[in-house]
Amino acid sequence: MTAAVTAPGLGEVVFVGTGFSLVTQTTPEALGAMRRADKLFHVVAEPAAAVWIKSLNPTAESLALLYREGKPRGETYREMVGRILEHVHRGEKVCVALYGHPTIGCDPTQMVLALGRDEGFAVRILPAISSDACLYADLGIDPMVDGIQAYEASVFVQRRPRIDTRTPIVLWQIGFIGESSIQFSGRANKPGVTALARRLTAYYGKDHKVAIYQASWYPFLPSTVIWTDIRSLPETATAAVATLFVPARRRPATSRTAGSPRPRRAGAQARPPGVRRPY
Amino acid sequence: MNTSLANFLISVASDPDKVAQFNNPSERNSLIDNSDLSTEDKDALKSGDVSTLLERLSAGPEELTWVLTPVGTGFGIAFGIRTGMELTGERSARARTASKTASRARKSAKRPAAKTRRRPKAKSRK
Repeated sequence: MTAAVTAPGLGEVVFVGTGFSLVTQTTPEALGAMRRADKLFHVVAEPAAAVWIKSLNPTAESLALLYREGKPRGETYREMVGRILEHVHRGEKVCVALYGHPTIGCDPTQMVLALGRDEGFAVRILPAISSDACLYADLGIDPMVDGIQAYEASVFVQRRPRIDTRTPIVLWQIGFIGESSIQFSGRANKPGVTALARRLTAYYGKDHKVAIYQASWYPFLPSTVIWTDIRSLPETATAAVATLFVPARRRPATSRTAGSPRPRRAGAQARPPGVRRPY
Repeated sequence: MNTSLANFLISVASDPDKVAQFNNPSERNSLIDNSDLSTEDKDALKSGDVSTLLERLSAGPEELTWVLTPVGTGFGIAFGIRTGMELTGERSARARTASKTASRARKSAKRPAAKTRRRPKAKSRK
């Protein structure tokens, strides 16, 4: 996405995502933007990624150092935007590399995008691999089969959207529900997870199985997938940045898999699970 | 920051052949053993445990913030999550007042629309 054409004297910003897995989930296009930038900022998810980014561009600077325990995240994001704008106002080409996808759960991206429209500097956003993309791959899910509902976990608890139990749900950042700052301990905010479990129980009951998911930081290590029931969620969901996958309670009534299976025609091939029926 | 371990991980991740080797348990160990890493780093790699690896990579707890920081959503602030009470689903007096105000606003906004949908009165015949 591109917003506006840069006004004279102003620089431009390109947001890229580095995905989750070290090096391997960064696209060549993002790599080029990181290398060519006059100033490269980053917030990455694990230490080796920061070393790698520094090797791409010596101007690389971590914005993650602006986080402080007890400091509201909103304030940290505003400071991040301030650092980015300093360089844009000098007429520089700025690249901001964020782990995951640069518009999924990234306040600074939205803030800079809005400022770009107001002030007249160009903002480009390059697509990247997000946590839900990793989740689909690791759990073997095709969201086109039953559809998908996705919410940031705090929004899910606070706004109480009406949900369809026949469609799976993806809930991002379950450990940060009600947490306006960060915890260096990396532990999930238990009262928040308890509130989430209570909300899910109302729809699914306590025995419904859910998956606590964390994409792998390394291409040679598996992602973390913990299956548990909703009852045990507050005790099991301990990592702050985990994503929760809530499978559908039952298949849609229109699905051929609902109820007793239809007798298959002689010679007909069984479809692998999650694969759509051809139109 | 443990740069030697970080550089080793980067060298593996940057080379598709090495990634494939790493995904094969027998080749993984020989690749690790032939590196210049310390015994502790080699053990952390062989363990296949992310937490152990991150601890070896980080010089101290402050560096572990790498893995804990969400880049996004100050939703906690945006949606007024302030007290544990609100989180448990019990709404605060403030939230209830806000909800009532919003409800009244929605109702008053609907009124003119309802009028426009009303059927025109039939003309009285004289």
